[in-house]
Amino acid sequence: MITAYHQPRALDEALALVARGAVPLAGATGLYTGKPRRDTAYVDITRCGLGAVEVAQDRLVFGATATLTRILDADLPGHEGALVKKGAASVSSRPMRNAITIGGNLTHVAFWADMPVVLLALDAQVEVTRPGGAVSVLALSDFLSQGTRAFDGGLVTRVFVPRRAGTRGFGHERFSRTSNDYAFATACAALRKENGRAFEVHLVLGALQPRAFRATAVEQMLEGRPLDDALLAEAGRKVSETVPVAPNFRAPAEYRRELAGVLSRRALAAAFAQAKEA
Amino acid sequence: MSEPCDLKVVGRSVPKVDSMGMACGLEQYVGDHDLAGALVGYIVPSPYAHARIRRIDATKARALQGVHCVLTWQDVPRIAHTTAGQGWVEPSPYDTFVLDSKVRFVGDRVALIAAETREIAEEAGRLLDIDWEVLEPVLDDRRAFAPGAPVIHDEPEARMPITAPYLPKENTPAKAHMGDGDVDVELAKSHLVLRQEYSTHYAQHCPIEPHVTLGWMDSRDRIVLVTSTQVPFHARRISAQALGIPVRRIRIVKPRIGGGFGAKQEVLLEPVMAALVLATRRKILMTLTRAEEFVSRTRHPVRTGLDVGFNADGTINAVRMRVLSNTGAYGSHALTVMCNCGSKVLPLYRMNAVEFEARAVYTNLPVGGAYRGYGATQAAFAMESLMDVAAERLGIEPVELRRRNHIREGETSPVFAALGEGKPGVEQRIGSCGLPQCLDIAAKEIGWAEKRGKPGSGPVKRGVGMCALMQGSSIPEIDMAAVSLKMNDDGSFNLTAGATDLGTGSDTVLAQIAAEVLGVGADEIVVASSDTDLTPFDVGAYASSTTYLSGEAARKAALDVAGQIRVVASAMLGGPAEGLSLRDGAVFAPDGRRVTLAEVGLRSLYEVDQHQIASTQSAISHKSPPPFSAHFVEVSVDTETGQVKVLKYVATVDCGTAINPKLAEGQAEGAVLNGVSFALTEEYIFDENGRMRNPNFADYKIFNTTDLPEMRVILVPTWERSGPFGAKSVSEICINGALPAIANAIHDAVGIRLMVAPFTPDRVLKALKEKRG
Amino acid sequence: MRFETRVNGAARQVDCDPGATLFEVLRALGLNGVKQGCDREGMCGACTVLLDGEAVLSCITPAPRAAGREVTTIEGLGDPGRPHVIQKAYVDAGAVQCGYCTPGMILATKSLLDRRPDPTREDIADGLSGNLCRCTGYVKIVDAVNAAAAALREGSK
Repeated sequence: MITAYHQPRALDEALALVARGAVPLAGATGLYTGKPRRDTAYVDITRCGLGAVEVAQDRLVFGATATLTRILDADLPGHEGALVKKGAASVSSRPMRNAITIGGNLTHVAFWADMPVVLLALDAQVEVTRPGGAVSVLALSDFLSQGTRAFDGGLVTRVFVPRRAGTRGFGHERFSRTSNDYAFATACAALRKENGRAFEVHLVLGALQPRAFRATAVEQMLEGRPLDDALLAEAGRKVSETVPVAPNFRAPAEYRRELAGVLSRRALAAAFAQAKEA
Repeated sequence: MSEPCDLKVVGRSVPKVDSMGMACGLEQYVGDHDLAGALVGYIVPSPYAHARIRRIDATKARALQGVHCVLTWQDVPRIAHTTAGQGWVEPSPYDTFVLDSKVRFVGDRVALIAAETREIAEEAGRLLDIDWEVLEPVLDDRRAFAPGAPVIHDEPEARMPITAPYLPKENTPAKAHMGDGDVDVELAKSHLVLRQEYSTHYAQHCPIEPHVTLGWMDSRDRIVLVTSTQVPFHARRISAQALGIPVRRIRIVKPRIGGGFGAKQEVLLEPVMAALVLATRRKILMTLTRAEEFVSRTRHPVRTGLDVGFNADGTINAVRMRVLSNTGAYGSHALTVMCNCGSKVLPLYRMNAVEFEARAVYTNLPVGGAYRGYGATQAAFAMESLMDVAAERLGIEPVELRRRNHIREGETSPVFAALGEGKPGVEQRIGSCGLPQCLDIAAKEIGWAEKRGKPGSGPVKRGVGMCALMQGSSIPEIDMAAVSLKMNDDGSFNLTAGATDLGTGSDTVLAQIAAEVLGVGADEIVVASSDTDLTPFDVGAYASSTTYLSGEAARKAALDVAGQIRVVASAMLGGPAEGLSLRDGAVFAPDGRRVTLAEVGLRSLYEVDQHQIASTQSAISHKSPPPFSAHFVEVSVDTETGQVKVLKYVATVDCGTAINPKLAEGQAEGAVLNGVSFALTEEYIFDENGRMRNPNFADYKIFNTTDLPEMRVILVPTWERSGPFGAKSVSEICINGALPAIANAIHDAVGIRLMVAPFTPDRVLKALKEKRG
Repeated sequence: MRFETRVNGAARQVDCDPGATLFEVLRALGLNGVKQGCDREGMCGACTVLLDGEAVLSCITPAPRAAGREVTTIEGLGDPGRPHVIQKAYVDAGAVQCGYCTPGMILATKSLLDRRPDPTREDIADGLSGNLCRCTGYVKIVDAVNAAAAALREGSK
C-alpha cells in the first residue's frame, strides 16, 4: 500500500525524504504493476528541477528526470545525440515515453531496458547525489555493475554523455516482435576509425542478460583491425557462440544467441561505415 | 429481393448512430452504469490444470471483513449446461456447471465471491481451505484420445443434447464424418496427390473491453444483468437453465460493449453473476482482468490434414480433410467450429469427391470458443497453402489455379447439404459470386505480375502471396431474427431489435434498411436493441448473421409498416393503398398529391380509427450465401533474423451489397489486421503445468499503429437475391486470409513452406537453415 | 491526501488515497470516458488523458501528479451538440466501431495535432502508438487524423 506520495520542489527536500526511507519515483510506469508491496512512502522527484536537457561543449547533460519525449524533442547534435535518440525512440509507446525518464530507465533494472544499451556504448557517466549534498560521478559500467548500491540512499541526478567531436561512429540494431515490444536482443556498437582500422571498439549487448554488458572478448578481437566483411562475420559468430544468454520464456535462447550475432555484425558494420577518419 | 434499384439510404456510409456519443465519451458501457453500492464479483481461479476438490471449506473466507458471499460447488445447483451462446438445442455438450468439484484448466472456477473490493475478494480466495487431489493433466491434443489418457469429463451428467457423437471417455466431445463420392478412387486417378498437415495455434480475441457484467435484483424479485454479450437471449435462457429458475425471472440488457469478435458469444459471466446476485440480493459488478480474459475463451488450435488429388490441368478431383481440434477443458463450440473447418472451406472448389473426418478433443487447457472465422480461419490456412504447393508442382500460376477450380454462380457443392453444424447442412446454390473480379482487382492492386518471383538481393527478401476465401451468412434453418417497428407522431419510427451491435454498427445498418423501405432518412429511425424484456428475439451476433438475417427482418417489418401507412394515407388521399408510394418522408399518390408521414402519424395516433402503426416480423434463412474474398499480400523476410513483415495487404471483398460501405470496409480492415498479428506475433506460451505465461499485452502482441502494413480493402459489389437489398455478410471472412496469404508470400520470397503457425522469427530461421541444408 | 488540479478547464479539489491513480480519481468525478483495458500495464491506452496537453496513461499515473496541472479528458473536448473537429472527423471517417478505444485515441490525436499540425505518416503512427484498437485495423483512424489535421489547418487560416 502506498502510504504517502510526496512531491518536493527541491532536490535537498527530495534527498531528505529518501534519507527517511521514501522510495524515489520518476516516471512511475511500473508502480502499479506486480504484486502489492508492503506499506511504502514514495517521493516523486519530477518537480525538483532535474528534467533539463543541455548541450555543453564537451558533453550532453541529461537531468535524471528528463523524459524520453523531452530527449527526443531536444536538439541533440552529432552522432552521439542521434544514438541517444535512437535508444529513446525504441522504448515502448508515445504516452509511455511521456513519462519514462532517462534516470528511471537506468535505475529500474529490467533486462529489456533500452537506454543503458546506448548509454554504455556512449561511455556515459552517472551523477549520484546523496543527502547532505555529496556528489559522485561513476562510469555507467560501474554504476550498472554495482546495482542498487550505486544509488541507494541517494538519487541519480544527471547523466553525462561525452561528445567526441564526431570522431566516433555508432550502430544500433534492436530486434523485437512488434515495434513497441520488449527487445529480444539489442546490439549497439561504437568505435573510432583511423587508417581504415577500428579503435576503442565498444560492443554492447542488451536484452540478453539482466543488465546490458559489453562483449569485451569480441571487442578485443576487433581492436585495431579493419572491419571487413570476413572479420565482421567472424565477430558475429563469436558473439553467437560465446555470449551468455539468460532464459526468456518468449524466445528460445538458441535463437536469441543467433540473433545477437546477426545484430552485432550489423551494428559494427554501421558504426564502421559511420565513423569518419580522424 | 430481386433487382438492384435506385437506393437512397442503403449503400451510403451514413454515420453510425452511436459514433458521436462514443467520440464524446458519453455512450454507456457496462462499467459506466450506476455502481453506487455495488459489490465486486470475483471468480477464484484454479491453480491446477486438472484436479478434484475433495473438500472445500469457506469458513475463514466468509469471516473476512468485507466479504458478503462465498459460493462453492455445494452452494449452487448442479445443472449441466453449455456456455456456448447458441440456439436451443445447443450443438455443444452440456459439460459445464456453475461450479464443480473438479477443475479442468489453470484458471477454471473454484469458487465465487462477492466482496467490497477486488483485493478483499482475492484475499478471501486465498483463505479458502481446500483439499486438492491433483490429477495428471492432458496437455497434448494428439494424446488426448489415446487409450489410458486421463478422462477430463468423467461426470455422469455430461451429455450431448443433440444427436451427435459424444465420447467423453475418449476425451472426444465431438466427431464428424461426411463424404460424397469415393475420394480414394479419385485420388488414384489423379496426376498429382498432395498429402499435407497444417496446424494453427491458440489466440485470443483481445476485445479492448474484457468480459464484464453488472447485476442486481429488481423490485420484482427478478435478476437484471447488464452485460457485455453478443447473445442476450441465449444468455437469458442458459443462465435460467444453469440455475434452475424460469427464463422470465431474468432480464438481460446489452449496453454499448467494447468489442467481442466471438469471445462474448459465450454465456460465461451471466450464470455466475446470477448466482451471486441471488445469494446476496446486492448489486454486483464482475469484470474480468486482462489476465483472466486471456483464459476466458480462445481460438481452437486445429490440425488440418489434407489429401488432395489434382489433374494435370490443375482441376481438383478430390479432397479429404482430416481435422483435429483442441477444444480445451470444455466443449462449447467444439462440434460447430470443427464442422466449419469443412463447411466454410471445402465448398469453395469444385471436386468429384469429398470426405471430411473430424475429431475435437478435450485437453486441460484454456477453452476454445467462438472466434471470428470459426474454423474457416484454421482450415483455410491448410487449403490455401496446399493450393499454392500444387500450383508450383503443376507449373500453374496460383491465381489461375483458383480460377480453374472455384465455385461459381448457379453452382452448388455437396458439402452444403452434407455438413451442417452437427447435423446435415442445407443445400444451396450460389446466388452471387464476385470472386473472379476479386482476384483480378487484387492482383492488379498489389502488382502481382511485377512482384512475383522477384525476391531481390541482400539479406531481406520480398515476396507476394495470395489466397481465395469464402464464409457464410447466418446458419440456415436455425438462426432467427425478429425486429419491431412502430410509428411516432412526427413520422419517425422506433425500431427495436434483439440484434446485437458490438461495434459492428448493426443498429445503424438496420436503421438504413428500414429507412430505405419507408422512404425516409436513416436518422428518422430510432434504434434500441438487445434487451430481452423490451426487444424481440434475435439469436445474436455470430455466424455473420446480423446484416443478412436481422436486416431481412427489419426489411420485412418496414414493408409491413409501409403497408399500414398506405392504408391510412389512402383514406386521406383517396384512391387505392397499393397505388401509393413512400419517399422523402411522405406518401405520394400517382397524381403527385401527398401527405407527410407526420400527418399520417398524427392521424393514426389521435384522430381517426386510432391505432398504433407497428409490426413485428421475423426472418429465418434457407441458405447461407457465402461472401467471397481474395487476399494478396507482399512481405519482406529478413533471412538473417527470420523477421517477417507485411508490407502491403490488399483484400477484395464480395459481400453482396454493402449496406454501409465504410462500416463494411471497417469490418474487413479490422479483421485483416487481426489475421496478420495472428499469423505473425500472437501466441500462447504455456508452462509445463498448463499455465499461460503471457496473459497480458506486454507479452502477447497485437499490432499498434507503428506495426501497420499498407492496407487496402476494396469492396466488390454483387447482388444476392436472398439478402436484404442484395446483401450478404462481411464481418468474419477477412480474418481468414492472412495465414495462407502470408505463408504463400514467404514461400515466394525465400522458398520455405511454413505449415505451423504462427510464423515466428525463430521458426522462419529454422526453416531457412533446413532449406540451406 | 488533498491537492488542487484543473480538469477540463475547471478547478477541482481532489481528496484521495496517496496511492490512487488518475484513472480512479477521474472515474470518481463521473468522467467515464477513461476506460480500462489492461491490468495497469499502460499497454492498451484506453485510459489516455492529456496532462498539460501531453498524452498520459491515467491507469498508471499517480493521481497527485495532476496537482497544479491541466487535465483534459474526452468530455472536455466537445459534446454531440458542439463536437470538436477531431471528434467529428472520427465520426465522418467511420473510425469508430465499438468505441472503447475512441476517447483515448481522440485525445492522443489532439496532443499529436497540437504539436504537429501537418503530421507525416510516421508522426501519426508515433502519436497513436500507445492506443490499441482491435476493431478497425487503424485504417479509418488514420483517415480521421488526416481529415482532422486538414480541417484544423483550414480553420486556423
